[in-house]
Parts: sequence; C-alpha cells; structure tokens
Amino acid sequence: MTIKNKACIVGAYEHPLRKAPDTSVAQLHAEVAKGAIEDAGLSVRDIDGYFCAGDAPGANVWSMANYMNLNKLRHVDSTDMGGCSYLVHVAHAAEAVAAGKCNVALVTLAGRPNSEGSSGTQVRDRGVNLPDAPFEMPYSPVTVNLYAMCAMLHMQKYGTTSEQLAWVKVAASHHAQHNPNAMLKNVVTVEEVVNSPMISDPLHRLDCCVVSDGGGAVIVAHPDVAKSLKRPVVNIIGAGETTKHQMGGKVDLTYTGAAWTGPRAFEEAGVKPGDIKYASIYDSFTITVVLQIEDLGFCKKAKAASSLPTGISFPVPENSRSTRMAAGSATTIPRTAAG
Amino acid sequence: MTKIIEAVRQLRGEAHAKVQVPNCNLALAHGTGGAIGHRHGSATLIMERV
Repeated sequence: MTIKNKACIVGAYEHPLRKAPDTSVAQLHAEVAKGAIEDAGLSVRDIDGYFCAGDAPGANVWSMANYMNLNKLRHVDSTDMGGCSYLVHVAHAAEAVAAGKCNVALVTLAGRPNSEGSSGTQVRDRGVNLPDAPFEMPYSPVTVNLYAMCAMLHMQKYGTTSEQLAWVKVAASHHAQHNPNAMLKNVVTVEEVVNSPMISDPLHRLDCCVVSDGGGAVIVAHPDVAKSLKRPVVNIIGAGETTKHQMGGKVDLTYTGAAWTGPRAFEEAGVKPGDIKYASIYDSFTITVVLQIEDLGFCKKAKAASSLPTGISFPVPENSRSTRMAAGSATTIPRTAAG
Repeated sequence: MTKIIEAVRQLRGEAHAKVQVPNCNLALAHGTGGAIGHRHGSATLIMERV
C-alpha cells in the first residue's frame, strides 16, 4: 500500500511566542491545536485521530486528549522520534487515513525549553536502563559535541571550512527577516558566525540553533475532507523514516539516515530531487543542514558546503522562515533542538 | 514540525512575498531527531499542491 494521494495536510499553525514562561505546556499544545483546526476551517468535533510525541505532558495521548476534550478519537499514536517525530506522525496519519482508521488527524508539538533553561551544552540524564548509558555516559556526551564530531569529520575528509558552514546561518538570518516572530532578527555575516564564541570545535555559537518556546500543529485529513474546505489542497505523496545508529561498530558519521529516507520518499512520490521546488530542512546546527542536503540527493557528497558561498540560495530554495536557526521553534526535548 | 508548516505555507503560496517560491507545487520536508553523532531518527515527507 502507498500513502500517495491518500491524505492531505489541510491545516497548519505555528505558535507566535518564542518565550512563554506564563503559559503551560498543555495550554501551548491546545493553542496550536486550535490554530491548526481554525486554519483548516474545521471544528474540534471533527478530530478523530490524535498524534503527539514526548513533548506532550505525560508523553502519552490521554492527558492532552483529556485537556483538549478530544472525545471522538478512534486512532491515537504517541510515537517519539525526537525532532523528527512530527514528520513521522504526518506519514503515520496518512497511513491511518488510507486504512480508514481515522478521517481527520491532529498532530501537536509544544514546549518551553527557553523558559525552562534547556541547553544543548548540558549533559542529559537519560536514565540507567538505556543499553548505551554505561558505555557513553561516563564521557558526559552533550548534543553540541555529538554534532561537532560530524562537522570535524566533514572538514577533515572533504575540506569543508567554518566559513562554508557559516553560510547556512547567513542564509537563515536573511530568511528570518521575513518572519515577524523570529527570535534573532538581525542579518549576520560569515565573519560574525566564525568570530562568535566557540562552543564545541568546530561549531561556534552561531552554528547552533536558538532554543525557543512555542510549538506548532498540523491537520491531516482524507482527500474528500480536503476538497470540501476552501483551501489549496496539499497532498502527501511520499514518506520515509528510519533510525541510524552505531551499526554494530561500523560507525560512519559522514552521512545521516536521510540517505535512506530520501530515496524511499522519492520512489513513493515518483519524483526526483531535481523536481523539488522547495526543501524544508531541519537546521539544528549548520552541519546538520549540509549533511541532509547531500544525503537527500540535492547535491553530491562534499559539495553542499562548497556550493554555499556562491550565494544565500541552496541547490533548491530552502528554509524560507528559518524557524530553528534564527526564528526559533519549540523544542520538545530538553536539548538544543527538536521539533 | 516547523519544517512541515514552512512547506505547507510555500505550497499554498502563503509565505512572505520575499521568500515565496513562484509556482511552488512540490515540496520536501526533512527532520532529524536525536544526535547524528551516535543515534538518530530521520524522516522525509514529500507534498504536492494539486
């Protein structure tokens, strides 16, 4: 079975706040849900599917379903995949709609990592039951180090420079000018990025995303519902999901799971990277964007970084609102970034 | 999540005029969860405006 053309995204809403110390996480979830439902032109009574991840209070579906009084649910899913949870949710919602398990699915994300003081430079206590904990936690890994390692390898293997990585941030800062809710409103230069304080070599402060409060929600619905609404119809035509780990010791940090999910999504959609008019790429750190653009097939390995200094455009237009690098979105997970 | 919202806004032609891609009918959103240095999740979504 394919999800191609079996479901549509009919509603989308991004919370305007980037700092919300006086709004509960549950209320943020409810506010983005309301925003997406109203954007779609639907009612809360139409929602019969609900998807949320670890950022939802309780990390389950029932607390938020109770809070929002979603009382017509017949399909629920609280899959947690960190910052890519919501992309997985949309694909799973499309599968559920295609299988007739629900007709109108709500996906919510919200968090207050800014107000709660989360940082990607903090060691996170992940508990003792994780099989990797006894081997890794003695070294106190933090998020930024785990990305810096990949950036350092990219530099060593492909000759990538800090100036090339900095162009990702420069582009993000230009795009953020047009988002009225952006956290960082000023355009930055390559010099400002490479001269910002070193956080974890080779990543400077401006190679890292902002940590913000807020959230967002989308509505996935059956094509018949989409056609009944007075909005442009956005069909879901392909998806891919995976996890990449240490591969039984064959660690290769030169690529990400995008190298596997991209081809699967393109195959299902029946399109090629060159057909894509707009790519929305996760931008937790500058190196994250470079690796993903390469892995998704928008350019050859090692070429993404060297293509950046030619301008602020990527091989395809990318990240027009720059929600993470400069504008800031909510993260659910108390690291530097997610969502 | 913001990656999906950005793509939907582009496909609907609702992005700010300065960054709206003309006739944007095919968009991709991609996300990473966890940390690429040890373990992570990846997800790609392709959407089309009809």
